[in-house]
Amino acid sequence: MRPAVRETWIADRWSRGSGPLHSLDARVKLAVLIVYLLAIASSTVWNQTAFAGYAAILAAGMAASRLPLSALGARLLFLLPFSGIFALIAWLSGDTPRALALVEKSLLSGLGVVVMVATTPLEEIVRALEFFRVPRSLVLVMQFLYRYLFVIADQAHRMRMAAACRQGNRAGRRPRFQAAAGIVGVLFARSWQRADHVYRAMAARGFQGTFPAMNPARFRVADVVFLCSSVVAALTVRLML
Amino acid sequence: MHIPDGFLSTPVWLSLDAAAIPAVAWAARRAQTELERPDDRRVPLLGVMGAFVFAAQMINFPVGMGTSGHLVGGALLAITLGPAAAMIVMTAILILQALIFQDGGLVTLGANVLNMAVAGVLAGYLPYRLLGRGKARTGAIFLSGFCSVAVSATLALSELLISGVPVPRQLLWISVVLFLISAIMEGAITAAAIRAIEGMNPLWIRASQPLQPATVVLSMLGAAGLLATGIAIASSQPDALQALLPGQSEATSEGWLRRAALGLMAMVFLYAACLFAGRKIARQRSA
Amino acid sequence: MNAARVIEVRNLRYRYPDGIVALDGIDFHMDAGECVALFGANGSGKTTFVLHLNGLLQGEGSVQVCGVTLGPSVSATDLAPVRSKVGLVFQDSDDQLFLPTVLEDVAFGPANLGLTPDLAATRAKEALEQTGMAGALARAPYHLSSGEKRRVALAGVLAMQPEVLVLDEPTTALDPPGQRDLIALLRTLPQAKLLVTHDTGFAAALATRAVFFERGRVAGEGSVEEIVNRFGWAR
Repeated sequence: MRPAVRETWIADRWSRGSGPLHSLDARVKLAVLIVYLLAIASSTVWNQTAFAGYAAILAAGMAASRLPLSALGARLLFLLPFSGIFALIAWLSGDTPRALALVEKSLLSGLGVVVMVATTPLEEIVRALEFFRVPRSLVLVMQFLYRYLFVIADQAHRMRMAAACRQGNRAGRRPRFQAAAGIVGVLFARSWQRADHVYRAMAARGFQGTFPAMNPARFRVADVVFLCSSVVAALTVRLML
Repeated sequence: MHIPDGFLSTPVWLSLDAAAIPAVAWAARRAQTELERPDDRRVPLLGVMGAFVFAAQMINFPVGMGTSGHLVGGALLAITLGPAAAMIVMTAILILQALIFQDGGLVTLGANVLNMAVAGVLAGYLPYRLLGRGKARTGAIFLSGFCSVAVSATLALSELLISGVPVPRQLLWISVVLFLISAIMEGAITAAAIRAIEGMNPLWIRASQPLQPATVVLSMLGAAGLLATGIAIASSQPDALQALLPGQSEATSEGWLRRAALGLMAMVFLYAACLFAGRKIARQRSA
Repeated sequence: MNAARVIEVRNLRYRYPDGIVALDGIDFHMDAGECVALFGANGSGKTTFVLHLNGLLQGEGSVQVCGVTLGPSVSATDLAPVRSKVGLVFQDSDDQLFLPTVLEDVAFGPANLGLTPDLAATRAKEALEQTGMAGALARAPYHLSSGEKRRVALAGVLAMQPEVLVLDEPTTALDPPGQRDLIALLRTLPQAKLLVTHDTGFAAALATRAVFFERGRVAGEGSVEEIVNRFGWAR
């Protein structure tokens, strides 16, 4: 479990770095990502020219993101197995175009999301969702979720360490299962109590039922240029190739 | 069970995305009334409990032979927070999982939300709601966990099949077996976790009031009726369904599985409709 | 009420929903600018008492804060200004810093008071300057150390321009340098301060008066040294 949390942490750290993509408005990046993903997903006819086109767009994004290549390799390995299996099946039954489509589409899409997340702090992505008319309550729940995710994950990790200290090597399935269930139970209780404390802290600072909105930042020239050029590029690949 | 981008055909992901939007909007409004608390408390509670489930999903539950299971949490959330709040929390979790881990795609988010946050939560709530009061309480909770994973997985599989993803017979059967195992684990984990939670404070588990008998009968009949209709349509017009699939796939020969999957999809949505209708009727009766 | 009295509590009684008596007739007062330490065993009612000072809990008896009388009859809208007059810093800073970035969180209080987003942000920045965390505006609370979180939580409360500061176990999870920094910071703040703490050294460095709680009652009052000696409260 720890590696997963640490991995998030790494992307979290990268997202607060600096680079041409980092400084762009999150809403614009999200819009570009969606257009890119929709273009790929809606391509019923998939040929290698189209793949090359999208790959070029993705490569530009990866270069601008200043992401270390090893990290990208790691994400590639993670995304490959699921699509790889189906691609293999399709290829073995003679349907090579579909095989290629499965692998290429899922890799292009997955890596596109990675570029987005590695150049934009998650809180900004979540806030950008509100611009796209995602219900405010859902956006707020996501913000609170992300805020307390690591706090609670750390608690879970400490409890598991503590349980492991008392379990020894020969502990059978059943006691370890029960221990895990107990941890989940206690984690539930502490989380519920924490939610009460958070609400109490909110009330103590005058919360009256609605969260105050922050002023949204203005769009800059760089944002508009990026938006137009990326959308044009994606649509060109989609419609022409 | 998360479907990544690139697997679903355009009509499938488009229609599922379109269907997910009103479902989530409804759940957001509904969660307000269901928690029986002033709505300003709702947001931190849902957020923090979402963080709890996200973190709890990473805890290993050893089940033998060196493997371990993990909690998904749809049923657990439905039983403790109520179905609408659970839908919102699961949706939030799915969106963050898609972004942070690329677990599930963004275009396929609608599909994953419908499978796991809507259908999975409802399927994880109904057994508890119907049977949670009697002597079979633990069994009902187990069934809730079981159904929530079974329904989500079946829906995901059927969506992949309809999209023409190649699934040879062996892989299909392996998948079904894996789903069953996951569903059993979810049932066991959910039951164990609920017992632990209840031991600390029984108030955290929502009371399971019996549904009006009329509603139960209505939903059963409706489900059976729709399943029968689905099978009838599918068997009478196999060509029409064949036309839905863009490519050739070995799985198309498993017609009965496909029909059953379609029927199951419709059944889940019908359960939801019956639940709302039943609630409305119950409220009118008691008013 | 004496014009310089910021807190006046008389015969406060509070019973938990399950029937247990938490406060059994508390008399307490604080003057403007004073620093008072609140000692007592865990479970003696210190935190429960403190929650009455800004209306989060309401018991029987009389609670007057900055001239406003709190009680069950006070409406939510009347409570809002009181919430700004009494700034409460909780024991677990993670419970208090709940928004995605430091700036947003510190601006939460002023925004709730009705300030526009720009004014709230300005007020927040001033408060962060005061507590030495002005460089952390865009950082996420999770990434801060416990000392830094404590200072941001304090800024969040200072941004509401309170007259009274209440700090619940403020030295929890602070290392000695962090503690020294906190003492130095608190010395610069003119507000009346109520310190709920087990740390007698911390209290001695700041408080001119100490109150000892025992089972929901005030068991003694005096200077920090007197109380520590009388109740054997030294470490």
